[in-house]
Amino acid sequence: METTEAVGAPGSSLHGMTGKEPAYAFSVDSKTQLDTNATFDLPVDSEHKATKFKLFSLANPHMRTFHLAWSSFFTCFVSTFAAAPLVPIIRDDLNLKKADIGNAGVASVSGAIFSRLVMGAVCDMLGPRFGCAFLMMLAAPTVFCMSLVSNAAGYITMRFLIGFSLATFVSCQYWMSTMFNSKIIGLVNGTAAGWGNMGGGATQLIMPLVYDLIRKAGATPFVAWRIAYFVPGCLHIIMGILVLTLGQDLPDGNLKSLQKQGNVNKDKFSKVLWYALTNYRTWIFVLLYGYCMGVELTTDNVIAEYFYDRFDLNLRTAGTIAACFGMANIVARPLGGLLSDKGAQYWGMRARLWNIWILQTLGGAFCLWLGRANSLPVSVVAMVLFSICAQAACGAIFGVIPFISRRSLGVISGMTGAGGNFGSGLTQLLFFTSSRYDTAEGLTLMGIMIMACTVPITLVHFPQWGSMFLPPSKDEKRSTEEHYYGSEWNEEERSQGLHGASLKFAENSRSERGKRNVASAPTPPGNTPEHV
Amino acid sequence: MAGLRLSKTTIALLLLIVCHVGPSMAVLFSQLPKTLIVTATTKSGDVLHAGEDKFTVTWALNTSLPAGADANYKTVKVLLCYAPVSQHDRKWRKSNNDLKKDKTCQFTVVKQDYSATGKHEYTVARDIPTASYFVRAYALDASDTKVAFGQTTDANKTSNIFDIVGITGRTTGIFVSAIVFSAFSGVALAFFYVVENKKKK
Repeated sequence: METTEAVGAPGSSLHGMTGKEPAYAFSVDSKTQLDTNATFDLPVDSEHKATKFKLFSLANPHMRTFHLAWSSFFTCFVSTFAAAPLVPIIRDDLNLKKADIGNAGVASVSGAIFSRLVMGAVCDMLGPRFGCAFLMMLAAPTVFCMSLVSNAAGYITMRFLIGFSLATFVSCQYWMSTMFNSKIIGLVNGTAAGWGNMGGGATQLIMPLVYDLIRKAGATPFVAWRIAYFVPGCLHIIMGILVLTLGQDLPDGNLKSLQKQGNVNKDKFSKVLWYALTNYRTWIFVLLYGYCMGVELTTDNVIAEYFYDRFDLNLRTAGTIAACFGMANIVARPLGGLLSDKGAQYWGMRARLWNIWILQTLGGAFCLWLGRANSLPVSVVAMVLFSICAQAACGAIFGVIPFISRRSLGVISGMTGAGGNFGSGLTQLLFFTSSRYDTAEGLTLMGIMIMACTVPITLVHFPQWGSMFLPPSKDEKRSTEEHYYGSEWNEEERSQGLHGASLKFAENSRSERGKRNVASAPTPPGNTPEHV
Repeated sequence: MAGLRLSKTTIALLLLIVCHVGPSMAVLFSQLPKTLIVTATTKSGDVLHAGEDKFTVTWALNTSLPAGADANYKTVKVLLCYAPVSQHDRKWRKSNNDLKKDKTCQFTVVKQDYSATGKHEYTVARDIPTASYFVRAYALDASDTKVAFGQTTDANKTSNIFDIVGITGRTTGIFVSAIVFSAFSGVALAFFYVVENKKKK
């Protein structure tokens, strides 16, 4: 018995990720029932969600939505981190101390912790298109007002407010899951997230370039950086208008049916939240993500100023080097997911966990090396390797998240995302705000903390699949996927058959046993696709 | 050792290392003789405005030195330097004994040929940031290496410190533009939302 998951239900913003599909597939297998009567540019399923992912197409509505969604997220990253490469100028204009710069960095990532949680509800109420556009257009004034700050307090406040716009991550993912079939949603979401994160790198190139052009036009440094801030602000407005005019919520363009379904809440939020909070794996992954995505955000904030000061480079050169860090996202994040999937094909969940541990620990080691490097070429090499490993670890982590829980997937994903921002705020507060450490020491200590905080992944154990060091449970009952995912529902709910979707998922997740065990697992009859 | 043959790459690497290490013998501030007497028309606690106010800096060789002490002085470079209070918590302005790494003095007032006495009237540049300053003059030899100095303050950099108030960069043009663009953003959003709701009905 299937339960059709309502679009407005808790967790529905990630309802595309079932876990059976390889996280980074380009197209679905032929078993999905295609709707051959629909006249879309891409083949679609019965809900008119695309079953193929054609990257360089702008066809309405699926690929157009993809490009609108990732570019809005990209723009928000550009504006949130726009100050970072200009700090050497801003710190003299506003008479900032190191503590002010550090606190502003913390503020820039903290706002998103709350705004991401609210955005989920907004998408449920207004749809992802309006959710995205609202945030873009309402964040634009905060970007423009950054040009008006005159002291440290104003600077910190504006960076905090601009940081709220990072909630476009949620609208981006939500929008993708209304447009793309669950079997390819992993790739679609991973690419969109990675390309959006790239904005943190692109801004380190864009802002110094714009600043230089304005200076050449005759402005003094302190005027030039303020004018430069109009560029991300205008990007916000342009993207917001594009989303409003070119975007649509559903493949068929019908917002009303979305709202109708949203009224039917199939699951109780309190229960969903409870199962998310009481699953210890949730907390371990929150910590882990804080030390891959979190350190990525931290580095976006500090790296340009670091190269400017340590190696006496000019603003453009420091920005170009800093950009290499964030731009690695274009391939690094999907790569992490691909490695996760490939490993899982042979060795199941154990491979996915080892993959995360290896990537993230290596990232920490390279970060340590970056802090200790005394020459420019060595620094750059260390930074690039650090970026690839940290971003791949982010992708790898989201290759495991769908398996922690079926019932609470949305909440766990939201918490993990928030954990990333929290980790960033914490590391900036600890290592980059006080005058006790200079930036090089801060990077070294951050590298050590990354390696230390990755160790808890050794504790993640699935009774049906084992952990990094331990085999699966020997108990006959506990070692089934059905038991693990079914245990999120109590007796009463199970007697009502509410756990049907979880059972289906359990069946599909048997691939996480790896090659040696899949052969012995019972194959389910009639492989019908999940309706979400 | 059988035939120590240096390959071409090794030679190239060695040359690279030598050229890198070669000419730089670090000039240390603590070893520079204070032979110049530098005074400025600013008094302790004065507040000057960037782009408007002026002051005159005068430098002269200490007459109690033996003749020929300034034989290798070719140029004089006068700089505006951060006082310790403006360096506090700001590592990018840190003083370092190795003059190559020293970031105390970041703004040039004047650079001219050396003469035993000199003076220069300086209008505070428009891009000087808000901070506390003193004035220092370096004597440079023919290869532009610092060989002597003098400054308006004492060894602890506590006396004769004056303040400069920078120009903030927040022009009325920017102020108005920011308001206009922000308003446009809000209005555009409201417009689209209302139009869309009307269409739905």
